[in-house]
Amino acid sequence: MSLAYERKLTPEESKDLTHHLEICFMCRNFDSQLKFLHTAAERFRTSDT
Amino acid sequence: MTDPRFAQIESHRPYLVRYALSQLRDSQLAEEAVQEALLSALESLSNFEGKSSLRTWLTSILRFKVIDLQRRAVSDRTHLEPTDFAAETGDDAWLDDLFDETGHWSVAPQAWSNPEAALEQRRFWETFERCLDRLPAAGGRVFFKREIAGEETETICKEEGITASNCWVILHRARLSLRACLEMSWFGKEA
Repeated sequence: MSLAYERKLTPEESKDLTHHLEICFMCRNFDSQLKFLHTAAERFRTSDT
Repeated sequence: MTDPRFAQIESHRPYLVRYALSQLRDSQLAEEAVQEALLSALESLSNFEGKSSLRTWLTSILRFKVIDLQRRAVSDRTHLEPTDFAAETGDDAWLDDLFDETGHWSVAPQAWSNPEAALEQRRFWETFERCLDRLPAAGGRVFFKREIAGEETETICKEEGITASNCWVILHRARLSLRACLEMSWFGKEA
């Protein structure tokens, strides 16, 4: 999951990840949290508050 | 009367120091770069048209100061040696306990309740910065460059003298660490 932020996954890797996320709710939570960290980091870069 | 934007500019100092530190790896040089950047910003405040955020504008000024200091450091032969990543990442060994011997989660990540709302709260950002401070030095620096400064992995590898796969591992561990810190310090309390 983390690797997907660094490089484009191969079709095989992408398919495996999608399948894994379908069956692993913990990993779905983790995936959402990684997305959140990414958004937060982006906001932190430009925030004026 | 003092321009209120002076205080606004000063409020970005901690972020700017963090940025400079990620690039220079030397707190004294980082402070120096930020000081010079803030002085330049104050002198050219009238040029700031608000097309980008103030933080983005200040960072762009700082970027030039950092490059200038890096050049000076190279010419003075005082630039830092390549990082000893093994030594700098040694204090996040606890992350291995997050997974069992089969590589599965030992403690299941719980869903965070309405995380987007946290982005609007000043106290969340204080927590976020504290968690960034707790990252191991190398991990924090690489994470800052990649996720906050938005540098390409290739550039980071070159600057840090590491391989891409090493960089990915460092970033992954930094994300795990930051996630765990936020869960413990913010989202755990919210639940």
